[in-house]
Amino acid sequence: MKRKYKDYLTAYAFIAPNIVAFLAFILIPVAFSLYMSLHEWKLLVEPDWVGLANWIRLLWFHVEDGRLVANDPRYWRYLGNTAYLLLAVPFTIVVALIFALLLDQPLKGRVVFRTIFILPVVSSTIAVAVVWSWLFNTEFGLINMGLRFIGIRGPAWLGTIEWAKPAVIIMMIWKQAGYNMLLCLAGLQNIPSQLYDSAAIDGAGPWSRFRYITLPMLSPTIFFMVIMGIIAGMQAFNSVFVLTKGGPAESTTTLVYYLYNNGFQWFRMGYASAVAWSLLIIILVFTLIQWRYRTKWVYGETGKP
Amino acid sequence: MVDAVLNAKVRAAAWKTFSYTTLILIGTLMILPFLWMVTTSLKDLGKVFTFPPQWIPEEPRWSHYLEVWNQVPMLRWYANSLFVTITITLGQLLTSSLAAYAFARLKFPGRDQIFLIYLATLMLPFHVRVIPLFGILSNIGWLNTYQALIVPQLANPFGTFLLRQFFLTIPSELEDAAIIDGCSRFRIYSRIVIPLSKPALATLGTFVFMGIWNQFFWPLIVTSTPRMRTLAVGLALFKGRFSTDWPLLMTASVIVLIPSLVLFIINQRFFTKGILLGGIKG
Amino acid sequence: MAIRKYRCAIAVAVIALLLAPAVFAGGDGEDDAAAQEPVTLRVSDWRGDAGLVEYYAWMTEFEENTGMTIETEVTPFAEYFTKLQTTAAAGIAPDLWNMSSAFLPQIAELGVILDIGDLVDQDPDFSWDDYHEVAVEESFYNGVAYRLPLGLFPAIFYYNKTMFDEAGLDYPNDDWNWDDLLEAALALTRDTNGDGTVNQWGFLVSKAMQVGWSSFVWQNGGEIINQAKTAAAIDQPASIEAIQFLVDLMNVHKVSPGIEAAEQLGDPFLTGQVAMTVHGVWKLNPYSGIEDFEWDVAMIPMQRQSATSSIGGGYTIFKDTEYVSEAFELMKFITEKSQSQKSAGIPAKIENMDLYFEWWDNVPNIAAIGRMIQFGHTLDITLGWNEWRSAAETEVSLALLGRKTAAEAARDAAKAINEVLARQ
Repeated sequence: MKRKYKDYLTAYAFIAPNIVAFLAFILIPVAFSLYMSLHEWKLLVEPDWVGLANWIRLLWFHVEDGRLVANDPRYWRYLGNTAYLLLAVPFTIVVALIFALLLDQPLKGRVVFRTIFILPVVSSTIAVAVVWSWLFNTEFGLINMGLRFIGIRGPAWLGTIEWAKPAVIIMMIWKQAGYNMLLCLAGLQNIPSQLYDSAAIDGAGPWSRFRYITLPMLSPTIFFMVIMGIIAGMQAFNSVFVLTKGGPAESTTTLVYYLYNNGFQWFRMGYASAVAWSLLIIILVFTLIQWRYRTKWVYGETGKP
Repeated sequence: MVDAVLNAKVRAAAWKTFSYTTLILIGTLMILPFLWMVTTSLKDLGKVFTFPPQWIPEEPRWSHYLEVWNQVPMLRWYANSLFVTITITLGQLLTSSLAAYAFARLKFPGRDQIFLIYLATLMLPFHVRVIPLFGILSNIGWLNTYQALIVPQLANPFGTFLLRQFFLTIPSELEDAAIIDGCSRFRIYSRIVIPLSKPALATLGTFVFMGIWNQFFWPLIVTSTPRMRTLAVGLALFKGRFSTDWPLLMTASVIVLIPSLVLFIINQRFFTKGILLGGIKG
Repeated sequence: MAIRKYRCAIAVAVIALLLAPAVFAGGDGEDDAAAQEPVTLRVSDWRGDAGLVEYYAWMTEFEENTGMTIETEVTPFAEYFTKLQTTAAAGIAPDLWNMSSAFLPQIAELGVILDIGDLVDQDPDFSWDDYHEVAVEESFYNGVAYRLPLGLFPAIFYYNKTMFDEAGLDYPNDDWNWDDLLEAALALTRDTNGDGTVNQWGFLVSKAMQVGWSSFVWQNGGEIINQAKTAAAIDQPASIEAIQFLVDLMNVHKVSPGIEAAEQLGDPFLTGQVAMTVHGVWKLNPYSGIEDFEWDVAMIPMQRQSATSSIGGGYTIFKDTEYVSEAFELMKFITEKSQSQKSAGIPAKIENMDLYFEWWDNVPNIAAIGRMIQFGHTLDITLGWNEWRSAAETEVSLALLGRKTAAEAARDAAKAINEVLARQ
């Protein structure tokens, strides 16, 4: 009996340093913003209580000319844009994994390569935007020039509604791959080489070794990348903004950009808080689903309290 | 027999060629913006945006790399950034690893619920948290101070989650053996788990360093005098409302980029195979 | 073993702690000055790049003249209002701040800025008559004076002289109208390197309201918002015609690069891909660095009348400041100093306007800007301007992309504008 409580105390002691800062600087602002979603707040004056008005406007519908119309059609449009951009997540993980496997081999100069691959993460956002807008340039961009080489007429990437989002996805993959590669490399280090050795002795080929050793042993890392990828992807703003400014015709405008506009440009911080919380709820649902199935998908997650 | 060996050699060589080719192609794509930063830093303003882009400036202005230190208080900003970034990195490594161990290995009531709430706070965009956070700091008189830059960021769910995942991959038999031997949890944490997590800690340390080093929005909001600013904020002042001194901005950006790269290269030596050999028999 | 493992971290921590004194020693002594001086004014501003050094020099001069202490807070323009609103929300708004026209109506309506009308009337040195009337107009909202006139930033017509020479065309003049513009644009849209695709365009069409199409709408006698600023007027026939003209330039005559071109960082005029463009005077700065070709300015080609968008600037005083007359002194000081600082904007003070032509004498036809400003049409900034502007721009984008006709886009824009106005 006593031992168990002592263990609990130890556990709480371990989390204590973390939790204190968390409560003061994260939880309170988060709770405050939920409270704000029930107000209208023009920032320079006191907030006004509006109850659920923001939420109803955000999520609900009304009838117009006999049709069901959303109260805030822009919200749904931007939600769609944001969800579309999530396509970057699986691609980034796959690409990062490939890079990590390539650079885990004892190749000469692999540190140089790894450093180059991490450059996108630390390069200035403006430089990234300028270079990519050139790459995507309809007439002179390298991408379209390359396509012309193999006989395809490339689209006006940043100038058409259909192709702007794929262009953004390509840039996002490029930007995140090095980051995730680092995670995968760290994960690969932890796989005991005896596992590979005994598998090779048993006659397992490279693909089997990958499928039955590497992948499962990396699954906690992959789990992390998927969850964090969705959390970050749903909040995409900066890199999208510098490349397309949300255009053309709002086709790459994301929810966080809408939130930012409402809160700091249009004097509606209460509404912005509602948008933010709706985003939190959506991401939380995604995460909870993955959390629920983690014992099935992820090695090492026992799920037992 | 000889055929088999030759075959294997040929396959290995082909794979190596393929690897190198892919890496070089992709590497070129990865390095382009960095190249643009460097070449722009050496140009004159009028030559920055020419079409087609000029990759090699006619008269490289190496002097920019000296000028930039005089134009703005870069040294002070560098010191600020170093102090803030290193403190937060060490702080997060500490708090995250402790908490991650608890979430990964210890059993206590509310463990998963607390973890999920913790994680959930990452899902709220910072723009709506910034004002209440600013208000709190204003009320305790911490505006425009180092505390404001550092303390709110000493704990981060991101790092906790990351390390938790790594700790889960350490075979629990190692720890079980230590428990049987009567080790306290803290000793297990510090003597077994931490040393085995070097790649993960190096990774987290690198991520946190890069993130805080380049962090813009929070330091911008919470500092107001030039002496307190960090590099990322200081750089933004090169952008005027209507015109930007691109060459100097890129010069400063290149200089700012170096510490992150250096740290990354140094940390590469932690990426050696884990020491999980032997000792687990029976 | 633990010590050895953490050796690196310990070394780093030691270095950090060693740096700390160097970092703390300078301290924030300047900020402690407040304890010694009775009057401290806090000023918030956006001033990037070169203007910053001069700006700080002004502040020092003011401090020496008056014995007050000035605490400046400079933020890059893109984040300026975010930061201003954050500090105000926490109850520590600055005493004086630079206020852009886009935010003036809303902030005035919230009642947080001071009506300076009386201060101006009682001041012996200051008179509205000394300033250009368009700039003075910008200082008021709803009949109340909030700002002192800082400068004027109209939109103007830029053209690439070298391209005109190569094509053997006459340069634009004050009499140019839309037909002349179209004719020249057609002649200047070419494939100059013979690879089968157009790489030089005649005119840059932009979706931006302020510098892209508002001037055209007004020149055709149309409006975007009605006179009373209560409802949209963009769906008037005259307005639709103007938008149609631009849409045709892009989609029918194909004299403009795609819609994304106007947004990119190195704008197509600067990179020598476009022969003519309409843009704000603030482009004089970057364009003055152009070395690869000759360029000049002209009046924007007109239609039924001449018109250009014009926007001004100015500082405002916080209503609840302790130091009203002191802040007003500083406001006058900065405003006066700005009239003689080289800027892309025209000084608002009439007697200083000639300086403008000296500053920009590298531009042969700079006098055109002086002629253009007489036809300055303020931007009709209302509550919710930021919001309805972007809605209108989205609709115009769709027309430029060929998804809607100009008439449909204008009607949808009007609907969106009215919705925003209703919500205010």
